[in-house]
This record gives sequence, structure tokens and C-alpha cells, in this order.
Amino acid sequence: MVQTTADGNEYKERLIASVKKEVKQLMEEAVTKKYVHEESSSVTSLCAAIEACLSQGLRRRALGLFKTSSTTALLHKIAKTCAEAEHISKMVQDIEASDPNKRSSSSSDSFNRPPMLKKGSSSSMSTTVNATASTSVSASNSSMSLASMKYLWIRLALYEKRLTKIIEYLVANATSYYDRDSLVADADYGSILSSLLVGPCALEFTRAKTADHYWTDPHADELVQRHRISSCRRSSSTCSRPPIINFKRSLNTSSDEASSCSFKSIASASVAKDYVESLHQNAKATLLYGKNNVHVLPKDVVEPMPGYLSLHQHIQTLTIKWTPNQLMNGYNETEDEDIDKDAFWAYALNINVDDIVYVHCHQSRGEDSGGTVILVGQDGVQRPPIHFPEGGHMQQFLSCLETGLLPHGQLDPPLWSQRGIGKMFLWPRSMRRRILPSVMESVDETPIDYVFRIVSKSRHEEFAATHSILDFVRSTPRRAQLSSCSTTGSSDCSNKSLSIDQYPLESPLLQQHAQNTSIEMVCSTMRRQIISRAFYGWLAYCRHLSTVRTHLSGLVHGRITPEMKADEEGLTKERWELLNVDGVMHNQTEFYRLVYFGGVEPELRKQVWPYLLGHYAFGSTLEDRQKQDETCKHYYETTMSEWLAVDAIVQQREKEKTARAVAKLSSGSNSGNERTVRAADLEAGGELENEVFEDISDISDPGDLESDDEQGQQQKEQEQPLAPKAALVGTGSGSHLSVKPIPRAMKTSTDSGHVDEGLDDLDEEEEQQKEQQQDQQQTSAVNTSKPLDEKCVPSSSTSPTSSYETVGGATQMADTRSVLSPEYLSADDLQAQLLLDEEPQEPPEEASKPLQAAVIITNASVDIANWQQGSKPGGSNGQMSPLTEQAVEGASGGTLDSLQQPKSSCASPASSNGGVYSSELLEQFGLNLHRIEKDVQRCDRNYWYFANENLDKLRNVISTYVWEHLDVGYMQGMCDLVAPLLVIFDDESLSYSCFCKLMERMIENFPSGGAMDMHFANMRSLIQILDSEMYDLMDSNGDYTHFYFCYRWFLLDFKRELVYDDVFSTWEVIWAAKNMASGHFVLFLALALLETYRDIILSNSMDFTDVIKFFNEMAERHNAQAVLQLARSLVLQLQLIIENK
Amino acid sequence: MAKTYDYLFKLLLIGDSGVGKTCILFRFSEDAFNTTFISTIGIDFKIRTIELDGKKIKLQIWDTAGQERFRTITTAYYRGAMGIMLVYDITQEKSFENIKNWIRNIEENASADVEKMLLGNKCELNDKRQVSKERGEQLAIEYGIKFMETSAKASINVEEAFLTLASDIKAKTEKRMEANNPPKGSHQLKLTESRKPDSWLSRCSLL
Repeated sequence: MVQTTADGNEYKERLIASVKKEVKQLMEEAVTKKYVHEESSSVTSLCAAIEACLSQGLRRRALGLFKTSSTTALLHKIAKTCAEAEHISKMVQDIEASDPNKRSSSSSDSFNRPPMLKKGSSSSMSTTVNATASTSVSASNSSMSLASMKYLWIRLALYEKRLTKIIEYLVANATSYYDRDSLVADADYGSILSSLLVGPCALEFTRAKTADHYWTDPHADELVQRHRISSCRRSSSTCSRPPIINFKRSLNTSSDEASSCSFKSIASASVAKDYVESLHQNAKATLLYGKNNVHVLPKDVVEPMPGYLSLHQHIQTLTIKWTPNQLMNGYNETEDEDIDKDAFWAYALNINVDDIVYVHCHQSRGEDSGGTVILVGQDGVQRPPIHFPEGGHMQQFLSCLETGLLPHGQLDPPLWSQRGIGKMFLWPRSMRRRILPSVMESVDETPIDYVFRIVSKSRHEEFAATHSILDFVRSTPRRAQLSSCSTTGSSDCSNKSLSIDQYPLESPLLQQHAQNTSIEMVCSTMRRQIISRAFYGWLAYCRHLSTVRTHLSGLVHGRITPEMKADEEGLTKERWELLNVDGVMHNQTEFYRLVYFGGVEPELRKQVWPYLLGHYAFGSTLEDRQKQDETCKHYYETTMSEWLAVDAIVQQREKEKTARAVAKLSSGSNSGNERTVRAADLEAGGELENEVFEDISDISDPGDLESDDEQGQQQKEQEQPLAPKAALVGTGSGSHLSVKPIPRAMKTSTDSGHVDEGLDDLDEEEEQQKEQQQDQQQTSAVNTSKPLDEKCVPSSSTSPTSSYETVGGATQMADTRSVLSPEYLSADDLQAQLLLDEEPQEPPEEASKPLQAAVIITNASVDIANWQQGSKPGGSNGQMSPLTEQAVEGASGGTLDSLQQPKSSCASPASSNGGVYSSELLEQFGLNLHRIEKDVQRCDRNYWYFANENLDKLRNVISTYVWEHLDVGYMQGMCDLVAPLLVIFDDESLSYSCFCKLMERMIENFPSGGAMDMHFANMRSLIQILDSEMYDLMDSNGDYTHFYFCYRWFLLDFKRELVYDDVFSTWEVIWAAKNMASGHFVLFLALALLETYRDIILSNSMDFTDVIKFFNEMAERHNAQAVLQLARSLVLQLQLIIENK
Repeated sequence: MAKTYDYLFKLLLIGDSGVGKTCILFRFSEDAFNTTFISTIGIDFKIRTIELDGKKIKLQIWDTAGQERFRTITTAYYRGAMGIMLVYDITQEKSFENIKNWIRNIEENASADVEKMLLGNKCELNDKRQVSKERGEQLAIEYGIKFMETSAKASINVEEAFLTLASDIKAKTEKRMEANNPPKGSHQLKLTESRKPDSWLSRCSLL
């Protein structure tokens, strides 16, 4: 039944091709994974392909094999005479015998698994069903499910490395088993088949379940490596990619380096590699011509090198490849030679025939002396000459080339002489191209030279159609390729027109046409129609393109900055010195240019980045900048002390919440009924110290809104804030607490020892008394003044739901605060307490400080002042005024320094003043802090800078930012943006300022902004005009709203895609690009990343899901410099397109 | 690429940030744990193929950013999801409370018959526990979904959770498939019997 589809050679060809393809797949898998799993799908598909080959033309009848479609019976048959087959046959029988469900003769495609595979308990039933069912299924195309159990004997023979031998035996004895016209009996195909399997039979197969086995989809690494293997022979692999031509060269060189490295690493798998190597035909391309020992004289080489020349037909294009023999000969040499070998990759040729305009043939007079072919590209550049050995190989090559060009192109003039049936072996004179007629005709001894032009029919028509509107078409290339649009496009056209003018190439054609006038007449109408249709298609397309261009013109600057000279190296120290005259930076343009093209020397980054980010202004003097830094620092510290107060409160609250939850669990009331728990807690609250925590925490439960009335009452009380010690003011039932931040001021120095939760009663009493005193003082002070006084209110406290402020009279406080106070103190340090002692007595004059939206604000400057003052002896009351003044002065003065250290190194609430905050604010900021903490803890811990320390700095910078932008709040990703800045600056306030600058652009990318969708849409447009092939693929998978694979790229400016050093160099280019070339440089980076892996994405026809996975797996493995270079050239390409319009 | 599985299930991991979604996924897909994880930005997914009743099932498990701000992105992936793992952290009361919100989110965005499962992660941290197992169970019962306490770190129940979810989805899928195209001429096999998923009927309807 297989024969029904068999159509002679074509079918055999297909069978062999499928085996080749599977072998290649398998070998690639072996190379990339270093082993192949027995259950691998590629093994199964190879077996299927072999089975198909073997069953074609099998003489079933003669062998008595009517009933089965499989070749297992054949195996058993030949077992008698072939030792290898006997061995395998025995194994098959053993396995089948071990499974009673098997009829041994049934087939190889029965679902009998090798014994090592565990079998589903219920699968035996399905096995029989399928076994019978599968006899009706063509062997070559059986279902994939449970495929691993099929083709048992082929599988076993493969594992046992005997398959080649068996096939060889079959081929040798084909006459007795196969029809005469079968594949196996065919002299060529039979041996091809057996030799194809040499490679797979050399592999080791494993049964081990490894981590890799979990994965059925190839990992990104594997894809990349596979790609390198399949494109290894292309020295400039990109020649075959039509879309972006110009910049490819640079990209390729680097990718070649990479691939050669990988070759070394996998050279151990020499047999496998060797085999893949020698397979010159792949799934996507048909081999039209192949010849070994063709000599080519590559650039920079003295002697012509022998190599393998081949011509490949892809769907759209024709490729000429030449690979030096050194690369073709496998990996038998030693390691040293392997290294040499890398150089040869550079010599290999990979020429897209589309790029070739002229084929020059040189042949000496002697009849059969080989010949030389020189290909001349559209750009006018000659490719290295190709010397054919004697024996008419050049002619063969040319005729293959001509065949390959059909139907869309041809050689002009045609190779086939109109006179002769004979091929052009004799080079009839009439065929000669007359480039140099005088030379040709006069001197008979000179070499015979011919020039052929490669004419693409479609191009021809285009050309004819567009001749009149040349200007228009020039800028609108057919394939929407950037390169042809811009640089080569116009020269291309002019080349063509030149060629027409100079060489009357058409004249012989016209004569020919004249002979066929009648046909010509018929055709001409049709042609005109085609031309006009093509033209209008074009026109529409061009209009579309110009629309796209209009939209995209905003993405790049109109002004094109010339590239750097080869010897320039970006912003080096010397250049920085040169630019930085007397500490003043003037030449902005030059600065940006250097950074954009060459990056910044790592040591300079700390100085340079503030300029790039706009923190320092150009032209500012050293003093200006110092002043600016100081201001920033002060601002930063002020802000930080504000939120640190809140932080302390929040932390406290957190602690209690935890305690409460734990207590709740341990008390057994874990039914989830909070009400019960609360009731219990409430009862206990105020009576037992340890249960106060529960009480408090219960109340601070954000969900708790029970005590509205009490809240109201308390809110009134807020109006008269209280300073000191902590007061946990339980009103009535205690269900609602106003927590008084504890002023350390109230603590005596002895208290500082009581860091932990339990304070003994004595202490408490003392404190209470003091507090009462203080409270009264304070209250009176406050009452006469403004709430601003609350600066002195200390920071830490627990948070009640409704409000968080000093509340109530001192008498109330006395009940509960003592319980809380020890807790508050836990984070204190002695110094802070001492210093803060002064605070409560501060007078109302302090009021001139800025206020937060909340009722009361903290003010760092006061803090600072107090810190300094703390060491001075003095009565508390009398000192107030000076303190205040000092504080104000201290804001910009040296007190900052003293403050700096404790702040940045710890989050001690001691350094800040407490305040009264709205519960919403606390709630909101607390939530943010919680998130920040979570993300900080897991931010780049593998990077040395954040491994053990510096996390606090990170946390501080972000928290400060979030405090200042509470409406925005913390969003995941901010950590990633701060981290590199912090690594470079190692300075919180500078990092903070620069981060703010950075966020001006980045904030729009976060969910709250709208930039991400815009990026996606722009990406789509860019892909559309720069890489139509990619666009087609993406377009078929969904619209731009699916471009989530670039989400992280844009959100974090590629921070997660690259390793730290690359992040630095990428970021500075992005920042410089804004002033240099494009404010949307990230788009071009994204496109460059996409283009870098373009061939992999296309050849695997990845959908969006695959692309996401691919890039997630490729994170931190990119070659950043190559990508940057590509991105810059993409910008340039777009600039040129737009300029061209 | 050859199709090497019988079913492809898309699963989604959701829950507050920091509850350990990525760790659970990492544990399941690579059987490893790494303490230095980074927050997930945007989306990612991993694939693991499992075998259930002789069927190869490819699980495509999407890992999402936990912060609710990013819901706009994650909800785009709700639609195709056939199963959703709701994860909370037993040491974070808040993350448990937010499960309600996540479920609401699912109801708004995912298909109605999506299989859900509740996971209380970090169960190795019993001394820091804030949410009792009973509360988790109770919530699961409330929503009629399955519940497990897991630990990605100690490798407790992670595998089981995914296998459970996968087999539930598989059962549901096969049931629906058989309901849609009842087997020809095989009256002796009813739907109830074919709960046993590897009946050849289900394969026929599949292939």
C-alpha cells in the first residue's frame, strides 16, 4: 500500500530526504545536549523515516509477509543469514515474549515499549487496539502518541549500533527481498541510506531521566547552538538574511567568534559533528550543485584554497556556499589545529544569488582547462574568485545556477545557445558576451571571458514599470528592507540603469523575440497587465510605507551623527579630561557622541552618569555641583527622616500583627473567626501585659472598623497632640487605640538597657510619671501653639486603624503605654535616646517647617539639631530656643554629616521625629514598605554588591522615592532600576537624585503610565518596515498587544536581560542616545535583540509564547556590544529612510 | 517540532508578591530551590511534561508578577489558562486574605470552568505560621476547590499539587470531549466508566 503513493524516484527522493532530515535533527540534539535520550522524539521520528524507507518496495508476497506492514518480519527473516540481524531479532523476541499481549509477528510499530520504560497500567488494552489499528496507518506517518514504543527493532538496532550493518546487509541482498525499483535496491539510494545512519549509530543513547528530560521543548541555549551548527558554514551568515544587510557584517563577525568558541566546546562530539558537517543538504534547502576541491582565493590569503562548493535552493533564494576543505574534513585533528580552524570560518563563502548581478567567467583557450568564476554583487564588490577544476565543472555549475534561477530569474544571455542543442560546453561564439569586443575578437589566445548578468524577472518588471517613476520607487524597495531603501537602494537602481545603458544586453534577446513575434504579441498584453498591476500594488505598498515612516519619524532624530572613527574608544579618561576644562563641562555634543558610540570607561561612570541623567547641568562649575549635591543630600536626608518615622510605626505594627497571628494560632482559636478572638483579646487587654499585643494588633488590623464612634472621639483629641512616651491610649473598650509614638526623649539613659519587651514595673512607673509630666508640659505647649510642635513626637508606635497620632490626655495614657514602651525601644540606640531627650521641650517656634498632608510632620532638621545638642549639658527647658535655631542652621550645615551615617546604615527610628499620620497614609506607606522590603531582599543577591550589604541603601533610596511619590507607590521593578545606580555611585543621595531623573522617563512604562502599549505599537511598526519576514510571522500570531516578550525589556531598560557590566554600558548608551540619535533608543535595542536571534525565531516559527520563553531563557546571555552596535545601526537605517523621503 | 504530548495544559500561578510562586514553579520544573530568587517582572513560563495514566501531558505553567499593579498584564494570560494555582504564604496573613481578591480577579477574567487550587506555601516555616491549615482548608471548601500546603523549599506537595490539578483538568477535558463526540458504536462504554482516563475511547476522540 505504500506503493500507492510511490511515484518512482520522486518518492524515493522524499523518503531519503526525510531520513536525512531526521538524522540531522538527531545529530544536532546529540551535539547540543551531549547525549540523546532513548525516548527522544527525534529518535522516534528517525525510526519512522527508516521504517518508511525499508517498507518501500518490500516484496511482502515473496516473503510471506502479506499480513503486516512492518519490517519486523523482514528482520526475523534475515536473522538467519545476518549476524547483526539475528542479535536484534533475538532481543525483539525477548521483549515481546516478556509481554504476553504481543503477537511477535505483529509489528514493529506495535506499542511495545522497551522494557526499561515504565508502562501505564491500563495501556495494554490500548496497545492491542492500536496495534491492529496501526496496520492501516501508513508506516511513515503514524500517530505520535506513544510513539516511543514503536519501531522496536529499528530502535533497538540503533541503540545497539547495529542498524547500519543490517541496512547494508539488506542493500547488498536487496534482490531477494525487494522489488527492483525499490529504494533499498537502488544502487544510489540504498548506499545513501546505510551511510546516512552511520552517524546516529555512533551515538550513545541514554535512558537516564535527567532534568533535561523534563523538557520537551528545546531550551534557548539549545536553539542557539543548533542555529550555530546549521549556519556554521556561513562566514557571513547574514548574507542569507535579506532584510537588513548593511549592518550585518559587524554583527556577524562577533557571532562568528561566538560560534567558533562553541565549536571548540563541542568538538569532543567529533563523530556527530563531523556528520552534521558533511550533510550539506538541509531540510529547508535543496542541494542543486556540489563540487569538492574547488579553489577559492579568499581575501588575505595568498594561495587559493580547495574547498567544497555548493549551490542551495531555498524557497525564495539561491545560495552559493563554499567551505574550505579544512572545515569539511571533520575533527580528527588535534586541538591545536582546531584553533587554527577557526580562522577558516572567516574564509567560507555564503553568497546570496539575489545579491549578485554579474557572473564573470574566465577560461583559458585550452578546451578543458577548468575555469574561474567571479561573482560581482549589486554593490559592485567582487566576491573571491572561484577556480573550478578541469572537466567542465564551471559549465555544470553555471547550468545548475541557471536552473536554480528559474522560474523567477535567468542568466542573461541564456546559457543554452539558441543554435545548439548542445550545452554551452563549447561556448559557441555567438554566446560570448562582448564586454570588450576588441579584445575578444582580435586576440584569439587571450582567455575566453564571458559575463552573465543575473536577471531576476520580477526585478526586471519592476524596473521597467518604475523606470518612469524612478525617483519614487527608488526610496520604496519591494521588500521593505531598510537597507535597500536607504543605502543600497538607490545605488542599486542606478547600477541597473547603467547596465542597461552600457550593455545592449537585450539585443540578442530581442532578436530572439522577433523570431517569436506571434507569441510575443500574445504575451505583450498580458505583460502590460501584469506590469500595471504590479505597479499599482507597488504604489499602494509605497503609500503604506510612507505612512509608517511618518509615524516612525518621531522615533529618531533627523540629524544624523557621523559614526566614530575606528580609533575612537568612547569616553576614555583622557577625553574626559579634555572635555572637562577646569571642572566645567561644555562640549555637550561631543560628550554625548562619545558615550553613544563608545560608552564610558568604567572608572568614570560615577562622574559621568550624573551628567547623562541630567542631574548635573552642562557648564556647571565644580562648586555648583558640590552645592547641588549638598542640597540633594539634605533633601534626601530630610525626606528620609520623615518616612523613617512612619517606617518605625509600620514595623511595630507588623510585629504585633505577627504576634497576634501567632498567638491566635497557639491559643487554638484558629477557626478563622476573628470576632471571637477579638472578644477574647479585648477582655484580656489592659489587664495582662502580654495580651496587650494581641489587643493592639487586633485593633490595628486594617479590617477593623468597629469602633467608629471612638474614632471620632479620638480624632477630636488629635487636635491636641501629645508628645511623649508612647502612649497607647485605649479608650473605653480598648478596641481602638491611638498609639503614641514613643519619644525616646522620655527615656532615661538607663532605660536604654531595656531593649526588650519586658520592662519591669518600676521602670514603667517611673516612666509613667515622667510621661505625665512631659505630657502636661507638652500639652500646654502645644495647646498654645500649633501642631507643628509634634516634630518632637517620636517615631515608633503601633498603628491603630483610624489614626496614628498622639491622642488623649496624659491620664489615659498612663494605663497602657508602659506596656508598649519597651517594644518601641527595641530598635533604639542609646545615643538617639539621649539626644532625643531634648525634643519634647522644644518650643512652638519650630512651626515654620514644612508640613506633610498628615496632621503632623516630622522634621529632620530638628532632629539633627538635637543630636548635636544632645551632647551638651543643659537644662532641657532652657535650651529650647537655641536648639531650634541650631536645627534650622543645621539643615544645610555640617550637622548633616553626623547624621548621615546612622541613617544610611540602619533604619533606626531613633533618628527621626515622630508625627501624627493619617491612618490611610500609614496604611498605604506601610504596604509599600512591605513590598519594598520583599523585593529588596531578593534583588540581585547574586551580585557581589548586594550579596550581604548595601541592601539597606537600596531600601532607603526606594523608600524615599516612594515616600515622595506615594500616589505612584512602589512598583515591582523599581528595585532593579535603582540597583545599578547604587552600584555605580555607592551613594544614597546621589543615587536617589539620579533615580528620580531616570524615573521621569521610566515611570511611564509602569502600569500606571501608557508608554508600554506605545512601545509595543512602535515595535510592531519598526518590525514591519525593517524586517518584513519577521513581521509576517508575528502578524500571523497575533497583534502587537501580544508583544509581552519585550515587556521586561522596556520596563527595566534591559536590566534583567544583561549582566551588570553590560547593563551599565547599555544604560549610558540609552541615555546618550536621547540627545544623539533617538529618544526611543530602547525600541531599537529591542529590535536589535530580536534581529540577533531572528533566524532562530523564524526557523522555529516561534509564536509569542515561544519567544517569551526563548528570551527569558536567554536573559543575561546576550552579547551586549553586538546588540548595541546593531541597535545603533538600526537607528541609522531608520534615519536614512526618513531622510530619503 | 514534533508533537510529543497528548495534552497541553496551560496553568497559571497567581498570588501576592513574595509568596513563592516562582519557587514553586522552579521546584516543579527543575526540582531545585534557590534562595536568591528575584521578583518576577512581567511574565514567564516553564514547561514540564508529566505522565498521567499513560498520557503525556505538557504543562505550560505561567508565572506572573504578584503585585496587583501588574494585573493588566497577567490578566491577559488568564483567558487561555485551564488551571490556576492560587498561592498564599502561610507566614503572611495578608497574602491569605488577598486570596479572595485573586479569586474575584479570576472570576472576572478567566473562563468560568477553569480549575482552581489553593496552595499555602512555605509550610516548612511552621514557627512563623500565621495562617492555620484549617483556615486554608475552610477557604478552599468555601470556594469548592482543592487545597494543599506546600513547601517549595522542602519540596513538600509541590509535585502532588500540580499532578492533582493536571489530573482534574484532564478528567474534565476528557469528559467534555466525550460528551462532544460520543464514540461510535461503542455503547457499552459510558461516560462514567471512562472516568478511567486511559480508555482507548478517549484516545480515539483525541487523535
